[in-house]
Amino acid sequence: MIRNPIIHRELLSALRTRKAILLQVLFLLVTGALILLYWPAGGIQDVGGQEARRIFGVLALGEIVMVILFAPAFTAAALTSERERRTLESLFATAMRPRDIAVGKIVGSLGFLFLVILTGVPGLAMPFLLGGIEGTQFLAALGILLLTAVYLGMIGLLISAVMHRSYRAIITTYAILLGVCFLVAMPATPLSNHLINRGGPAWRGVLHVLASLSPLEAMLSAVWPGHAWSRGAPGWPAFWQLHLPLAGAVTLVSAGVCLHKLRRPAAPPRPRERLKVVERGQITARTFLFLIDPRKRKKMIRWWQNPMFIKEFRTRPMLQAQWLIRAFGWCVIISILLMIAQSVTVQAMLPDRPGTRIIEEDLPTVIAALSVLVLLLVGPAITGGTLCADREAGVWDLIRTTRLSSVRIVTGKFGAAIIPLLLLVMAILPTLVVLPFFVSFRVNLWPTILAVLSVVLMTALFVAAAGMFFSSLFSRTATATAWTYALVISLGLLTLLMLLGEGRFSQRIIAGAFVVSPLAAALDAAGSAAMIKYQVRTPHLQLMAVATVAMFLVAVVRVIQLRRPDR
Amino acid sequence: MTPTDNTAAAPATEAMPAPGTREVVVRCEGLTKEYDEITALKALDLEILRGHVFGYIGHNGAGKTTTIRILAGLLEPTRGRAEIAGEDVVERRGAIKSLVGYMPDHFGVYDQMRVWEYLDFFGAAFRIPRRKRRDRIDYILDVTDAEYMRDRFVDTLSRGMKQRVGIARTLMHDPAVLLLDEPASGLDPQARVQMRKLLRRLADAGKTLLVSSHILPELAAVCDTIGIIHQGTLRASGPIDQVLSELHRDRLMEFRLHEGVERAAEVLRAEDACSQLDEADAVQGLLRFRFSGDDAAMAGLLGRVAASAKVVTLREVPLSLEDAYMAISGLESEEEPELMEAPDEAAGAAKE
Repeated sequence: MIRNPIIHRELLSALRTRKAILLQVLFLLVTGALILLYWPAGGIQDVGGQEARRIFGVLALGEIVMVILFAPAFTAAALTSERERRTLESLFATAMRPRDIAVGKIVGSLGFLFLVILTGVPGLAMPFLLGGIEGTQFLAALGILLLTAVYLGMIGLLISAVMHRSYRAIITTYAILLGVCFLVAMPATPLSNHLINRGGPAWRGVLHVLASLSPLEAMLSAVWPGHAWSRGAPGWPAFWQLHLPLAGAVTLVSAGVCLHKLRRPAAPPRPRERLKVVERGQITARTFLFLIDPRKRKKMIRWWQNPMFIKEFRTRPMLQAQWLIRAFGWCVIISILLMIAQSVTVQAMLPDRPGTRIIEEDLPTVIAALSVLVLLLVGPAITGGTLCADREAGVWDLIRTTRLSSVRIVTGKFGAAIIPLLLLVMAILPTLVVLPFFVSFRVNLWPTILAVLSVVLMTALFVAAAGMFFSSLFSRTATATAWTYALVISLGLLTLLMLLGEGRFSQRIIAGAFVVSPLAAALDAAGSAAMIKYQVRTPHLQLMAVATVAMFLVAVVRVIQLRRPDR
Repeated sequence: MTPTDNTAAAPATEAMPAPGTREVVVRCEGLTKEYDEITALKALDLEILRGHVFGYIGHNGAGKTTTIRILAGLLEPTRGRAEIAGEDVVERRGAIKSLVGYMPDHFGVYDQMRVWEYLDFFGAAFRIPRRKRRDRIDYILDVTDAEYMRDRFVDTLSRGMKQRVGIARTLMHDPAVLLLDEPASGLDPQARVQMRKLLRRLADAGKTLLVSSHILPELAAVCDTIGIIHQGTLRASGPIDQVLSELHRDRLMEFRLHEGVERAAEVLRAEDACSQLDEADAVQGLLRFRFSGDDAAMAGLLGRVAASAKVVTLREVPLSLEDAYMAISGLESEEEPELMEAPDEAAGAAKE
């Protein structure tokens, strides 16, 4: 394996990039910041080791979230970028076997991530100084970190082997990983609290196994075994004990499929020449299946239309009308399913909680969380390549020679980024609109609905501006999308880790962290009991408005710079 | 429909003098481009007349693309000045956009876009009104023989087709000058012939073309004037015949002999006006040499050779563009490291 030339090349090229230094610094900075924040300031010795376990848990969770965010960035484009550069065929023309290529890619891509994790080991080991941490616990945490890198990295590589374009592979990988890491962990608390009793032990077992797929859940159960999120269904092994064989199996299956894919010559992208033009007014089967037939002849660009805006909608796959309508449909379905799930949960919870409170707090909370999560998870995929896609496709120079002004370019791009996000939000609106019907009972929900909407709209603007910002800084869509995801997920989800510090930090410090989180602000706006005490909505809106304007302006300045003659 | 009667052509064409006049459309004076340690272009002086096809020849890294990008307003020169139709390319970038159609050496592809949509987008980006744009698309698809590609996806086209769509795009706003960077690169022989015809057709329609290439026979067939750039310096420019005669003041001559090849070679070696005697094909009775004398001296030489050998023919070997190019780049290959020299070192070397 050591003689595998791909490993050498991948490691060297990864280490030579600025991204490598930035990631290393970011990783160590976050680890250092967590230690600084959570390290006990008082001189009282914690004999029971509670404090040490708490710090250890926070560090381990912080590091695993970073691994979850970084791992796809290294492997998801590993094979697609070779395809795009047309170097994959050259690799296969060498004496190397497909297995060597796959192994070289995975080890080479993850080698750097391993190095990053290992540099974090001293930080992770610091709680030893306080006592109360067992060596096995430390090794388990380190093992889960390294296994997660391989597990998620292998999923990324599999996606990379299947797909043709880097940015699509990265988006798909992130979407899958967010499901694998976060969504499957959702039932963990209800399981722990024995709220889902209706399905019986078999149903609880299924949910327990599903939750065990999440490395986040595995780490949580390893470092804080007694936590409400860690207990799981009664009678089942701890999440991390199930996670190890499950993650191992998924890794092996992914590796097998990846090898199988690599052994066979890659199928070329589906020829689109079959998509003959359908003249306007002509009805076909697709008209009904797609609502908008992708083959239908487009209209010429009108004088009042921004050519850049129209071009974006015609060329970017995520903005094609047929896909937008599908996404819209999915959001409506999810929204309705959530309503049903919510009503089921309401019935289950009725004996414990008054119905009015459920309508006032739980329904808006779920809808607000769903709206913001959709924006955080889908938004970067739509907005990440806003500006750099043209540079990547080699068309930017051509656009520079046209008479399109910088303002028209930026507004066209921004419009194309924001409209699909707003469409997705609109798709969730039916559920939100249902809420006022509860007004007839006795609750006035309009202020709550408007508050949630304000946060959701600001989040849409922020995500669009963040996508523009990063795509103006980087020349590759994949990089810009990865950075947009990193920022948006960090602000939206990572800041929620501060919930673990309740009791340790003052309310002011926690509110300070939540003020940047769209999810926290949306939950606050929805009247969630966990968030309302922090009152973060108004400062969040102000801060996000400033950040959005600042990022938009930076994007405008960058476009002006990029349009100027090169020096 | 002709280019002059097309209404969308108005902005660029009206400002230009009529074809046939010896109006300089592209002018570079002392154009220099320096990067950190590399001088990509050294005091380039260049003039291209209206309606001419100017072949810009040079090996990779010689400075062709740098010149073209400066003329297209995409690159700022370090020193010197470049004008297109009297407009400075740095100070009047807005005007330059209307005057110039630029085709880079790589074809920018948009996924999911059909050819007419691609042209429609660039037409709209040049603010051509919709109706005129529609006519314009019809016209340029016709001119470039690309009508059958109208509804095809741009990214699925072959390289030759893409190159033609690329040229169609440069024609969208009817520019006076077309800057085509390696338009024949990567094309098969048939596509090259089509490309050559297309370029000639555009020149006949009054466009001024700057075409860079290192496929020399293609340029020789289509260009009115050429420029040979080597290591950032324009070594020769003008009509092809003039450049060839300037580069090879010594004529390349060839004797075909029936007998007495060795004796004839002796005579040639003894002549002061003869040089570079090539005896590679002596077995077949062929002797090639450079001759610096006039026709009278040539007649004398013929007499002396005929006295010692049986001469079948004596002919002057016509020079090709390739010979000219090799004369500049091939013979000076030892200067190659200069390309990587620091500017001051290069300047020092030039003084010496």
